[in-house]
Amino acid sequence: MAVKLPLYPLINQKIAIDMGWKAAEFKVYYETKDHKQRALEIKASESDSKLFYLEDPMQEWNPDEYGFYVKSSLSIKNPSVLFGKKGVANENAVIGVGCQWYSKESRQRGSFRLLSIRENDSRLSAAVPLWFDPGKIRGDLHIGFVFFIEEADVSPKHLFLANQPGVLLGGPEIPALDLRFDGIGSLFPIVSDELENGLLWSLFCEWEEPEFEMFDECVRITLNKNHPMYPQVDTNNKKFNPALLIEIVSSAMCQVIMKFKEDNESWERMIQEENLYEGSISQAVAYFSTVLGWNYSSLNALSDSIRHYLEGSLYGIKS
Amino acid sequence: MELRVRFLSMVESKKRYQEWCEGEDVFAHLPQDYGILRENLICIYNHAKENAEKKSEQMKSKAKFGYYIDVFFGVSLFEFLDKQQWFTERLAANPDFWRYLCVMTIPDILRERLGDHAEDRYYRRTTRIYLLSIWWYVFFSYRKSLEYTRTILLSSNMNTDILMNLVDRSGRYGAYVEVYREIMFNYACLKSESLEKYFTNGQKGLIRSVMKLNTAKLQTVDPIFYKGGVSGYVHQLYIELGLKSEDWNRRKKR
Repeated sequence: MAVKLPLYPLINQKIAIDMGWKAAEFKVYYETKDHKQRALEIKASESDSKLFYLEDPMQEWNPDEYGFYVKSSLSIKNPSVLFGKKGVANENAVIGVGCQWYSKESRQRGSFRLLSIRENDSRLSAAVPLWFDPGKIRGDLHIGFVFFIEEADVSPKHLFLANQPGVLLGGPEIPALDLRFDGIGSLFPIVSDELENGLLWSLFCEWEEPEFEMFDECVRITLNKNHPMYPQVDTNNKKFNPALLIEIVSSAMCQVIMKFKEDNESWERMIQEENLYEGSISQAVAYFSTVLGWNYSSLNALSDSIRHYLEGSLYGIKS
Repeated sequence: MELRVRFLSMVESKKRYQEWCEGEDVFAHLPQDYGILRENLICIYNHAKENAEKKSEQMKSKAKFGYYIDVFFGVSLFEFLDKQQWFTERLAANPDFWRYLCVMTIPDILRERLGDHAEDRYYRRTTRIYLLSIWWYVFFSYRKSLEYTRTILLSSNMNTDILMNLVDRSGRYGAYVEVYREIMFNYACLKSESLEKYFTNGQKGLIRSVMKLNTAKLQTVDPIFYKGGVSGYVHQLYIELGLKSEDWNRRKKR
């Protein structure tokens, strides 16, 4: 299995601690019709503990008519730690700190510069003032902090350190914000609709060129809104039973992997990590194995490992 | 115009599309507000076709007639939707919104433009849905004004292949819109003999190479933080693919 190794040192937990990194949790606000700033509540999603959604206690805000601010603040007590051979940049480079955001369902991403750091700087701080226009963001939105080389050191002493403007140095993993706007968008494309065959769920799974076609266009689990058991798979319903949804998703995904495996050539190329084009079916199948730990050695192992993963993410049950 | 926005799922789209192919009158189901929208879209399409005919004659090129329709229609559609209060980028990013338009509202226009057996373009392949693809083509290429954008998209280097490559690739994290717009502007300003050099070298196509290189670079570089910003970043993409400053026409000033 190929492992992606960074070519130069990145910000890790030790560096984050040594530099005295502190950042406030992200908070979200909007401007009301009478020009007051009101906070939106950030609530955890029931179906995925890592995702949150926005709620306005006054029931006024909605993502189509209103924009929103995302705010935070950060401070770095010992910026000098970032420079030199034990840091991430040469002594005379300038490091930048910014925010990156992305939203696949909105088809857009962006970045915003916050502050610059030089070796001789003492304690630094900055506020985060991100703004998103009304009607822009759909689906899931991720926001996080990132460090980067802002200016290169013209005579670098340590050639193993990154030294090109724009190059990313990673960043502290917390705080980060993952918001869900529309209750759609997840690792597995799941929708609700009326199914003529009367079954609780159905799998759409068709492709010709798995290396080029997009996973979420070619694979879809449809839950039947008209089925009597539907409330138990509806994440917005009081009767929602996550265990049932786990069984459905794992059964469907077994079918998807086994179908992909039928094409020996694509399978081999996936194993060799060739042609793993961003968002493609091949890349998704590789991702499930290399990152999520799904076991492709046999159908039984596959089924068990998928359920281990899903139960682990939902209930924190470790395999 | 007022409109209550409607959506059509993939499953429902397939059903309705088949009904329409079998001769059923889908317009009988169309709500009144969508009926008005349909009239507007037909009008916009007919103008686009007239303009495309004139352009084809002017360029003495029948081969790009379909592409010219897509550009004129795409730009006018973009302009029309921009004026509608109910329309947002969120809607534009929702394929079910476009499916309702393609399958329920103007399937006859699509048939005229695309012919039969084009399920992918009506509903099946998300990034290939016809109206979605032409809207996002304009959005990802926009520069200064719609008129200027239209000029870019009608220029000699542009064709359907560019459209497909641009829209197909927003990928796992979405696109830096500024980067796509800069890529398109750079591409439009290249000398045609420089592009030909690319095809004879056995490359599949420069735009595809630029887009793939961009995807690869974004794993380690942020174009917003790059020296020279987005403009410097995109210029560097082309340079890394072997182009030189003399490969570009003298660009018009901002």
